[in-house]
Amino acid sequence: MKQLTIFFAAIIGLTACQKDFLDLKPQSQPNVDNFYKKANDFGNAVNGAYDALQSSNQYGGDYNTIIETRSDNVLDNDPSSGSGLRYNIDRFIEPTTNSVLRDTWGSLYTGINRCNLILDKIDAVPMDATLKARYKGEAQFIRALSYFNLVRLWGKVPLVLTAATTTEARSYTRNEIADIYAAIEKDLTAASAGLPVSYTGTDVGRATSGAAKGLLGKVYVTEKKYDLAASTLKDLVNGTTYQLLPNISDVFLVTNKNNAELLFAVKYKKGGLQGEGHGSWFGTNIGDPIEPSLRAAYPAGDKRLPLTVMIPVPTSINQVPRKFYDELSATSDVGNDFPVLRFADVLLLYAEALNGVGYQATGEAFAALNRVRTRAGVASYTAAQLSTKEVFQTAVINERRLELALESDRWFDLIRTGTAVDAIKVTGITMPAYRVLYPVPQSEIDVYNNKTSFPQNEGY
Amino acid sequence: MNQRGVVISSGFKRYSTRANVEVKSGKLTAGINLNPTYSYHDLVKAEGPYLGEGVVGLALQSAPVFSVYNADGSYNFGQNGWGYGATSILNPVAIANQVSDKLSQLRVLGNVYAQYAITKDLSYRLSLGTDINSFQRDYYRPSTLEIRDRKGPSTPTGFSRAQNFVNWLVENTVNYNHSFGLHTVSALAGFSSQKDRRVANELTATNFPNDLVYTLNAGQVSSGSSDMQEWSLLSYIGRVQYDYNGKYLLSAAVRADGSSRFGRNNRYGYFPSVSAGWNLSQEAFLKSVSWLSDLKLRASYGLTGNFQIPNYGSISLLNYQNYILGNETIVSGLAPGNSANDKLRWEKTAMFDIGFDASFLRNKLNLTVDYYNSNTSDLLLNVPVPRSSGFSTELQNIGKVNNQGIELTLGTRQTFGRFRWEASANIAANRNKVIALGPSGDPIIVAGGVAGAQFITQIGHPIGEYYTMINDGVFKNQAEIDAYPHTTTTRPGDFKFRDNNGDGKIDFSSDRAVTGSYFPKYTFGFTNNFAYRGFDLGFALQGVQGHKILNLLRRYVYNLEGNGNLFAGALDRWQSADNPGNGLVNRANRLASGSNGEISTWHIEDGSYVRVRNITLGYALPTAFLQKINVSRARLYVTAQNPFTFTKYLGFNPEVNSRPDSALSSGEDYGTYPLPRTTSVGLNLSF
Repeated sequence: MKQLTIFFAAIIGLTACQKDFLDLKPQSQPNVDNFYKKANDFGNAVNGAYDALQSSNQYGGDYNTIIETRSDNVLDNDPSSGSGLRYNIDRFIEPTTNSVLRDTWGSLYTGINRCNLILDKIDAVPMDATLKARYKGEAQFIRALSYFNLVRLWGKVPLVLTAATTTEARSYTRNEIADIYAAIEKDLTAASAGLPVSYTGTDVGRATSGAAKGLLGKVYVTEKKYDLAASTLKDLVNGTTYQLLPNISDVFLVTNKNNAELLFAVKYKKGGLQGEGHGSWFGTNIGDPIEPSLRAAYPAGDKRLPLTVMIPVPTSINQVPRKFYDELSATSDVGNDFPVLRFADVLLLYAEALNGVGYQATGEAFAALNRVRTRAGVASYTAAQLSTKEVFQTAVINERRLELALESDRWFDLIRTGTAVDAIKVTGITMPAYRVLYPVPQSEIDVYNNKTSFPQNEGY
Repeated sequence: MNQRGVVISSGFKRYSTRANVEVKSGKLTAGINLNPTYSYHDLVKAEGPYLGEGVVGLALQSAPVFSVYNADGSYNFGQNGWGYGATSILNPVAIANQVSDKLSQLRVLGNVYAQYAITKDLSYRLSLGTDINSFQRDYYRPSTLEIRDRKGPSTPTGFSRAQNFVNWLVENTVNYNHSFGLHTVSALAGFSSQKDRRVANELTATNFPNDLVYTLNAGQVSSGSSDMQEWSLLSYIGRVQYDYNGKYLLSAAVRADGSSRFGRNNRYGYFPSVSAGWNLSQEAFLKSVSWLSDLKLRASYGLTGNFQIPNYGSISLLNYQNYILGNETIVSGLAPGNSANDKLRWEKTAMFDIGFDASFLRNKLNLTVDYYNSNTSDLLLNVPVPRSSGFSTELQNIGKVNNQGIELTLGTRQTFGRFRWEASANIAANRNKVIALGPSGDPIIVAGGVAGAQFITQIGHPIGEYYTMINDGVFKNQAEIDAYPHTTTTRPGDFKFRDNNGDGKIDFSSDRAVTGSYFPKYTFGFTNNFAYRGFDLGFALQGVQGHKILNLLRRYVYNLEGNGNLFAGALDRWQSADNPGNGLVNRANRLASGSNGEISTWHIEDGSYVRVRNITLGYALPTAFLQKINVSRARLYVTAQNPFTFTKYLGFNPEVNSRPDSALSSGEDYGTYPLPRTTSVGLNLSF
């Protein structure tokens, strides 16, 4: 009986003395309530923002489809793979429910939200001023890059610059394109001031001030603000931080990451680590995915042509273009970094900007363009060959196609120069003119359910 | 118990025991119950499409031209990386047989209680229950299995996962029970606390040198993780009951439940209920009615709550989102994986029920009729939110849903000499309707297994209806195409989608329509037993009628794209304008033009079925014989489980649901596990 009493007392004690019995905090996952408090938290948050770029819905895979396969560089021969999601994008017949578009849109805003949270919260936290400026610059750079991709893919999109609740998000509308570009310019200007010129050790690969400047130059060229583009890019072109590697094929080697030509690359590592490797870019087992017109555009002896040749991957049924070749790991992933911005791109942008300001028969624009051509082993252009502003512009865009093939750039060049419909026609595919912009994902249209404040893009 | 599964290589064994002890000492009663169960499962992943190696989907898609085995007896992986853009399909028999996936479970249910009679009418009871559940799963995928799109031996991988759940519940209750004259009053007051803690560990390994040893020590451990989660529930309850002579029954109760899962200021929900019963047949004016043996009227109204959400559903959790920097160094990153919603609170259902139980002709005939009407408010749903918020869904309390229905059960028990007959039939119909949705009342559209497979939840309709294009067969010839809106790539033999909004063009967003629901019109059941001398024959059947299934497996096994096996209906496909088949099946086309792959009513099937659940024939051996061998009772039986199913549904089993946890998108079949048809012969002995 006495033992029973003790037993009773023990159980009553067990139930009655639990203070905050219902106040359970997650044990295995940190949560937002106790995060964004210390400098180290922001370091982790910034790494988390880079991670969004690495997603298979962005540089990890889907950009290849929605930027390169969409253009006149790459063909998708496989209508049954992935329910034809990628094939439909290549053939300009994708419905508004295409999940590649939905997931890319979502992933871009996931990254933007991560940047917004950092920028919202960092000012209140005391830390080393240089470090704080760097963290902010990195977040601004990633946010600007994300908006730059969003605005070029979809046109008017919600411009979200502070983290908000999902209820507040329901009142977003599609902001004007000019407002979005203004925000991108502002972020990149701030980032180029706050970011360091270079990094050491395990920080190598973060966004630098040069990367921010280079990207700002690209934004200005896209907006046809050639004056600003030229002045922004000038330092980079004349500086020594970034340079052309003597051999173009070295730029992409898995064994030569972080090389001097790269202003910014999204970084990967193969070996089955959760989300750190990626599938073979443009890998296929059905036909040659490279559009014949691309290979035909290379002059004889061009060292860039072999980079577009498909080579078989050992132990796999796939073949991949040499530019992004890497041996498969045991878990079937590869570790190529994605070159987002490299010095050859900067040189071509600079040439285009100077020419946009005014054609000069002998000058820096020709020099920049010919530096790229010389490295590729092809003859320099002369003023006699490119005798007008228009011809020069066409030559630069063509050079961009040859130089930056498969690097998720061509589609943007086609739409910013208004040449998409004609260029696509060459590949035998009919592109309706309204498809220069992608359809806003149907799921997003459905959530807003308001044709006035959140309409679909024209034509869809 | 040892049972083999329907899918080869699957099956389970179970061992269980039970012990109950109770002691009494004066006013004190105490006891202990213990029920340990050990079970061992041989798992085969059945569900899901081919990419996830679900063997049912793989088996359906395997082209018959590829044999299961090669001439030398090894597995044939010819359909993996066959080329020509054909989808790589791994050999389902090889996967089922060669993947080793073992799960063992030890579950111990225990309960200790003590009851003390304070007075004759008043007692106190304390009970401590525990449910300890531990799982151990060991998986190994050998080198002999190929990986999709890679030929030859693969790198073996394995994982070992342990999960341990400990759930304890302490209940304190005071009971009062008092009778005076014909009145009986009872009351109960109490509180309980419950806590559940789950700990999980997982290790994965790869690079096993060979396939001789499956445990991870043989390979190189490549990653590991551990996870701990808890939830708790505090409840207070009070209840009074009154009974007058078994004729009038009244009851009222209220409970308050607090759950750790909700937002800090919304943890408690309050749930009152009342009920009344009137035993009419006890009344003097009915006692003389001889054909009526029993009649009881019942009515109740009460609130119940639902807290089935993730353990930390109201908190914005951070996920590990690492990145690579420097010379391929992994740097740790963190980012929110879900949005916070500190307003999250209990989902509540207010239910009104009225009914009666009646027996006629000295209980030979029984009838039970119930009508209910319930309103569920503050539904806990993963609602799609603008992706521009950084998230795709948020767990919210949203909307209100009405359910009302009728349930009818008619039973009989008859004896004709030595022949006995027992039968019971029931029928139930439920109508589900959304009453309110969020502040704006906008419909909620969510995607299922693929983006085009959409479900709409809108006011005035049942929750989660299919929202797809309508397929009106195929265009038989160019003239038909010219006469009707179509997509630019449409050719004769392609699907004819209905221009639902009549704007003269086919648009895969604005031409979507409500195309069915997984809610059945009615369900019914029938059980029947005959007995004659020692023989007994029984069967039970069940039917569900008037619902639709979104059969997404048709995307693979009925796509006419020549990349895998197809349903036999492909023989009736459109072949030419002169030979258009049955006008429903699209042309064979390696290149899927005309948007034939778009999710439409082509993928939606009638799910109605009638299923014979079991048939049993038994024979009880004569007692005279049994007494000689000291057996009190012996019955021989043969029984068939699920012997017949009558349905037009093409999948293996019309009882589908790819996402049982999502109320907004139910009714999708993406490779459902086939229902076993088992026949067993047995002997029951009592000594």
